[in-house]
Amino acid sequence: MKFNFNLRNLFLNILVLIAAFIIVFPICWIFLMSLKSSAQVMEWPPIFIFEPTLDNYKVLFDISVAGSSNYGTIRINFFEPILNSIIISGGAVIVSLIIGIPAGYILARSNFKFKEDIGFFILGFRFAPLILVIIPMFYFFTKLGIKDTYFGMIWVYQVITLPMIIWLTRVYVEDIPIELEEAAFVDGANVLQVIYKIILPLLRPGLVGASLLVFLLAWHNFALGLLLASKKAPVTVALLKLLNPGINFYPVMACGLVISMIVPILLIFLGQKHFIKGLTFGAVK
Amino acid sequence: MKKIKIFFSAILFSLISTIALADFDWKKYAGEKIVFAYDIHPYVDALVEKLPEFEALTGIKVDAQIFPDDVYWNKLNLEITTDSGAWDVAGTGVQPTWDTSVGNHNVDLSKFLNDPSMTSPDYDYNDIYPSLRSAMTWDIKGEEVVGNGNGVWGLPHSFENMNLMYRNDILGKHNIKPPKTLPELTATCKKLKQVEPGITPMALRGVNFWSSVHTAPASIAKSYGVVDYVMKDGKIADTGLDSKASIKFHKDYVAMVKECAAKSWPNDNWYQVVDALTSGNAAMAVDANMFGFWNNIKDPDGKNPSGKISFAPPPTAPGAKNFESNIWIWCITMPSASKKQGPAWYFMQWATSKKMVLDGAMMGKMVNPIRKSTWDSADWKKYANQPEFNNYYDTFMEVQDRAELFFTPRYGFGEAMNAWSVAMQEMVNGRPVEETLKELAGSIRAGI
Amino acid sequence: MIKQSPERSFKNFLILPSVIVLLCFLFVFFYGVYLSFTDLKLGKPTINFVGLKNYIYLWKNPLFWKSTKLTIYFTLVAVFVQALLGILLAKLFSTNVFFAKIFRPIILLPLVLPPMSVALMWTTMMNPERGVLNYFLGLFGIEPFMWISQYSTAMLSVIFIDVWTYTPFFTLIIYAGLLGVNQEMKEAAQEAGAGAWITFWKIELPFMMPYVLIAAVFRIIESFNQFDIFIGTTGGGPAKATTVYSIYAYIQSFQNLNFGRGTAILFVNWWLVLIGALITIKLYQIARNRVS
Repeated sequence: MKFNFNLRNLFLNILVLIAAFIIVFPICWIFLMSLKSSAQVMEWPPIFIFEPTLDNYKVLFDISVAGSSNYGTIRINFFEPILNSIIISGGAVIVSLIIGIPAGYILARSNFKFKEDIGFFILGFRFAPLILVIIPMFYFFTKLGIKDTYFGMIWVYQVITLPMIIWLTRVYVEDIPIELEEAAFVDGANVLQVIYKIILPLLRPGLVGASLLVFLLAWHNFALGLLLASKKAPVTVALLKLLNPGINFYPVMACGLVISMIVPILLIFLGQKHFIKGLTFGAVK
Repeated sequence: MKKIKIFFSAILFSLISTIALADFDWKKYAGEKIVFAYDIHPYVDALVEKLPEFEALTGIKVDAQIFPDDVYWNKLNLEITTDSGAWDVAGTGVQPTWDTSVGNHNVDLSKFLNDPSMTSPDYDYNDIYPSLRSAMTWDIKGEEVVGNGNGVWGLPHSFENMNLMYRNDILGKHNIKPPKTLPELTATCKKLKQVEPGITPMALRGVNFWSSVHTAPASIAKSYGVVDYVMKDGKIADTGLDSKASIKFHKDYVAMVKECAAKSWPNDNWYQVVDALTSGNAAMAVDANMFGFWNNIKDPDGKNPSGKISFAPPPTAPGAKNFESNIWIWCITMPSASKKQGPAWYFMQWATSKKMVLDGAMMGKMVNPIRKSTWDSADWKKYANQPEFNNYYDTFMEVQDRAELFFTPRYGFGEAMNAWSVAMQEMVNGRPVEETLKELAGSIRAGI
Repeated sequence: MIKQSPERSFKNFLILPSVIVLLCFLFVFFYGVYLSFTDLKLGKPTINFVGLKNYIYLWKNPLFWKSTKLTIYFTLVAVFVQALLGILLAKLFSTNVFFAKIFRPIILLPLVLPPMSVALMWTTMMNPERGVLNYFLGLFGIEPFMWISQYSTAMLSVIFIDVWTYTPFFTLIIYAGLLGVNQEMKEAAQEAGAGAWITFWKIELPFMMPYVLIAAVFRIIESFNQFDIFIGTTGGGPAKATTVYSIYAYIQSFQNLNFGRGTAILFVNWWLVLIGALITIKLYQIARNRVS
């Protein structure tokens, strides 16, 4: 019986290791690739031990260092798309927080006609067919002249960030006992004061986590930037451009991938707890 | 008396020339700033390298935005057709410009060309090869493109004609002669696979985008008698892509792809063709001749297979009298939404001027040069005939006589030709040729 | 019921800015639906209302039907496999064996990476000539595999990537659900002589089911709209092997400049999403009622 039990344990441990390997290996491999020379990626069988080089990162970030190719010089300044991603995603989250927190609070606390309908309407945006929105959006953006501007991008990113912020605020506010607010109202505070003085401090840990998650989802987005921006395009769009020149250029692309992945991994260390709640709109607590 | 006459005419002459000079002034737009967009390409490298010269000459600042191939074409379509005004000069080809010139999204450049105050007196437009000039000339009638006419929609910047290129070291080692017909090409691949199992016989483009049909397929198909459109009374009446000739061509071509191409064929674009020739992973290619030229250049780190690539006309149909070679013209166009048309035009004429075309060619980048004067110049002749370029110059001269655009001017070029490239993938994947072509032709007919 | 104070009635207005922003998007959505009834082509100056012409074109077009099949196939297979593996992984990591405790945090990893990065990462690894996956296959004596470069294997390869990315989504949610399984119920069942399997089938699985289905709703919706992973790997090819709706619409709109047709495809897709989601929600309700 005891022997059996250990065998089972061993077996389960091995299974876990295999699963962990499958999850982690691709990321490690890309990291290794980002340190290889283009001659080294062409080698077969692939090599695992080699003298690492940071040259690819130089190609990626230093506009004066050109990517080698026989079909033209590839000059990249990857700082630009990183900055774009930070400004657009960060800006979108901030705007969503400003207009979304009061809305979330109202949805949690107030009772009025159509409240649940409005709530459902907002939730529905989690399921918006993004590309169907982008095509006409493209048309409007061109007409309004806000294509390829931070303003336009932050505005259109609201379709991702705003519903999540509202909904998560609602979920968090419902967890807060109502008595505190009632007391404040009795003392003559108005709604905005209650929200900013009483609710917000209590919400802070939850909201920080939620904001990180929403920032991350905005960071993920590709389609909006592909079609509505060019100089202000985010990292994900800049990455796709690195694929084009083929295997020789894989190491440089790998550098870009590493950078695009490090940011969310760091964020998730900070806000792991809120992840599931956020991903499912609080459907699973 | 005679002396005085000469004296006066000299004064008169210098007067006239100063007037002419005053008329055209390179510094007219000093201080302006324009945006120039292009594909990642050695052609644009040459321009970017020489930009300081342009900026010194004119005082115009140029912001060069360079995009990779796949992204670039979609972006180009969108920027131009939506009149975004973000770009002042855009590098493109003849075919995409058909689509964008309808609806007045491109500037008809003839107004600048015919204006001596806007065009430098030494520009000499007619020095550009006639086939290139006529390819960029058409009229817009309603919402359709009509070939010939007076509208000039772009300036040729450099161009490619299609050659068979082969690694003479690999073919030479096994005493294999460059094939003359498509079935011979297939047989050559078979042989190569036996004697050189480590390499791919042919570098071929196969992506599901029109850029993969305009090189080898269009050139070889023409010698089979395939046409893209059947004209009747100056109008497009039908497509020729499901004709008997087309079926025969596609059967041979599909057999060739199966025998010759790399496993990654459906994803391969021109970058991969250049790489394969450079690395020696492929022994042959039917593609733009300057891929071979670039690879033959002696580079300091010895990466290039300099001198190892030889040239021949593209393969033909069995028993065809002549080979055919499609051309691809890189040209620069002006979106009509540009708010800086004057400076943009200055940049365009500088980029295609005699000096820039020759300089670009001598840098080994802007090949093939578009101007006859370049090909006649002693400098370029000497450069292009260096031993490492093998028979590049002579093959160009031989092919150029028969090099001509395969496609019929038409709005909707992209849609039909993209569909052709997808059909090609389907046939290579095993779908019967007749059935696939019938479906392809059906979808094209629906759009005529 | 407390009497409504002036503040209380005022505060409902605070919801308006958000609602207005979202209504704008709703308007854009309906404008997109309207475009699907026009012949809007980029480059051509005029737009005409053409009724159902775009839809009739699609109805008659074999590629549309192929695309329909591919979209549904992709969604069903990917979500099913993810659910299955998600349950297994959740069970595995809830065993609390040594490595399970250590490696639990990394389950999150694939989910937090941008889908485009994931797609490009796998594209490099699936390269038929230089990719590391074929190297691994070679270690087991398996012939090189063509992955995304071949008609017959492209869709499965993309599904593979999708499964790698989103199985953790199921795992996380099911894991959270498993924590709630009543330990006493399990022990009671075991004491009554039920084996591990029976306990799993009779007690754990029904308890898990609502969680599985909630996760499935999210995944079904997102799979129908999946765009990034296709663009980053196959771009819809080779041939038409992976031309799902989103790609088909993208090609029609932005390569062929035919916005009318592009939006028509996406409107059809939207209905499929709705039907798929409603069916799953219905299943969810049934599963939840059975548990409680």
